[in-house]
Amino acid sequence: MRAFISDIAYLLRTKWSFRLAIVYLALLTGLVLLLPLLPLPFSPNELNLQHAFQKPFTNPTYILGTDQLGRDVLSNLLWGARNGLFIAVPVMLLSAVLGTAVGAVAGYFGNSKWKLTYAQVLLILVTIPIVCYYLIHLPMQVVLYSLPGKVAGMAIVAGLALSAILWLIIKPLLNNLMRLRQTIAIPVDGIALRLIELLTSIPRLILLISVAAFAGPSLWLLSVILICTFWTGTARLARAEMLRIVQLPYIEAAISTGMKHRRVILKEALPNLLTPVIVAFVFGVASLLAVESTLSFLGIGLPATHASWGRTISSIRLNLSAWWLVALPGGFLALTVLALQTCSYHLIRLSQQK
Amino acid sequence: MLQQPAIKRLLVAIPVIWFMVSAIFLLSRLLPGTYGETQLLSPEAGFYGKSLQTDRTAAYQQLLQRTGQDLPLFYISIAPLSEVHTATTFSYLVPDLEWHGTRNQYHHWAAALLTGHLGVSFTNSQPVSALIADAAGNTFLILLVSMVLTSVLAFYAGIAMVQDTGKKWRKPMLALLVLLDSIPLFVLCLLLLLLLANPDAWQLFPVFGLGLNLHDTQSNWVTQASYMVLPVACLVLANLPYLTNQVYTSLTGTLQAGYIKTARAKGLPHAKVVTRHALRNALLPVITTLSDMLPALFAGSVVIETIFAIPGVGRLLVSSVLSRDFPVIIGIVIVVALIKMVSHIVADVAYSAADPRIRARTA
Repeated sequence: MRAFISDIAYLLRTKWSFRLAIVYLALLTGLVLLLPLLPLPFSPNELNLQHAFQKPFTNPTYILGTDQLGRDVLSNLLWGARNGLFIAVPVMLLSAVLGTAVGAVAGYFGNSKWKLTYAQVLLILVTIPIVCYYLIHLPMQVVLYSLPGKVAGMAIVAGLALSAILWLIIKPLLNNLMRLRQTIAIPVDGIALRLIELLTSIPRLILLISVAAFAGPSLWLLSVILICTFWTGTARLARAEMLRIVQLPYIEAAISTGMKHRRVILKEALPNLLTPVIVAFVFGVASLLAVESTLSFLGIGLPATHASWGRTISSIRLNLSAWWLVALPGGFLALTVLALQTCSYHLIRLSQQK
Repeated sequence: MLQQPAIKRLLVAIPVIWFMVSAIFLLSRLLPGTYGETQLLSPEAGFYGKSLQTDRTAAYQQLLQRTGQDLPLFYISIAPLSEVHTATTFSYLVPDLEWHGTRNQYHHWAAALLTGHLGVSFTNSQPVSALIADAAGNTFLILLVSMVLTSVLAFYAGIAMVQDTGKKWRKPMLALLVLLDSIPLFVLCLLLLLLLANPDAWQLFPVFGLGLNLHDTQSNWVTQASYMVLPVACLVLANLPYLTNQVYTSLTGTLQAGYIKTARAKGLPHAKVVTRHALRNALLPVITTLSDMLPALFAGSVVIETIFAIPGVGRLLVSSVLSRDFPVIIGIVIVVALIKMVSHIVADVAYSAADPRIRARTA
């Protein structure tokens, strides 16, 4: 962590483009966080049909003009930035955590290092359907049919009780059987690679569009789909880095001192994964911003009640001479993407030079 | 010998695609909101709103029966929780599994798929394969032209940048590419559209519809081509930065090699060193990039066809998404996944054909 901060400080001192990008991003973050407190004259969804398609810089009340429903472009730009970043950053954070976890475990254990006894494998295979039924399926049914909450509570208690019985009572009994105490290696790496291959077998935008179609525009569903498709990039990167790190002598030294695998991964290996993961994170936020506004432009991203750069841009279809509806949000979007890409570019260059 | 790794990859890839497509099929039927539900069942004023509730329910049931959506989804199902179940006993804690045999939606769909039928569109009752085949020609033409143009331009720019004479272009060129890379495709399309095909600015090119609806007297290949300029330019500009960067990095990496020093030491001019010696080796990693580009180009064609109103596969996808026409969506997903798989395998074969070292290892 300390090395990473000193890297940033070094880049800030020497690279003017990096400094510019960081300043821009810091200003944008501040603006987005403080937006509800700012005294904007209009809310992004406030209609004014008398003043549709106002040109920018002519009307002092609508500084950046209005769209086809008379919504103020300035407040739509700012709220669009807020909505875009409020989706992109948490989604990418979760996908980066998920991707790093999967990639690091896959790279560290490979196909032969993680061993489980037959009893454990058996119990895991039994526990998964129990968890799915009692802890996921039944509560979801309760929500779907609005049944009394007591049912969901009973289901969760039953699920936890069954798992507890399996792991606390049945497992010691199974361990007494000679044959079930033998161990087999779990091909973690192979499983992770197959999973990534599965999710990338269809181009991401096509997958996003088709899955978004099934449930209609919804903020939560969009976030879940984005997380499911974006973690693979980080996972691949983290796995490749981990494969390299595991070969290094200091990991061998750590293991030879008797450290547990979990501690080796968390304390020794993960700090070295930091830079590539952060690069992937910054890059991912940029591409998420672009994907979100593309989907909103096509009408299958955010619900139409949410301000978004894509929503503002899509009103150009009704009036091709309203250039400001494309140029202003498009420029804002491109500038943000450019700043993020500049940051990740300099970080990559620095880590390559070392 | 050459085909062996290709066949192996095919055998691995087919189950992966089958699993993914099945997951998408099941997901499309599991999530709430079937086709026609909102139109037929909603009590608000609409085309069907005036008729009686019972009539509308009957019409909805008929639609479900016609499209096969009244059958159970999968071979096994868990009976849904109902009030009767939960009021008194704890019987809901035991899963109520039900076996449906082969009379289920998934089985019918999968059986049809295996015999080559992609199903029938919900909206206009045409076979999905015919809809896709109609649209594929336009998409294919645009993708092919832009792929060739992008590759030619990327190689040209990459070679020019590593030449001694191109040194002064290198920095502004790379900066321009970074700038171009940060503009999302749909913004780029709209900007070009507003600048070059707009009565308010310059009206240089005709757009919208690829000139397919012109009368016979007007329609010849020159007018057709002028309709294609803007869409193709957008796709090329959007994919150029990445490919050029790949070519450039690959070339500069190759130029560090020992045999390049030998070539220079024997007095070859720099331009010849690049084209004769470096380019061949630099080509190798670019082959993989080219095959990765196809899905990106296809995703781009979704945006382009929507904006420029081109009747292609991407536009078909967006319109069927907006009308929730699941068979068409799933059909397009299958076709795209197959194309992606084939392009990967072709890239593998091309890679081993281009590099004798790989051929020797796999043989």
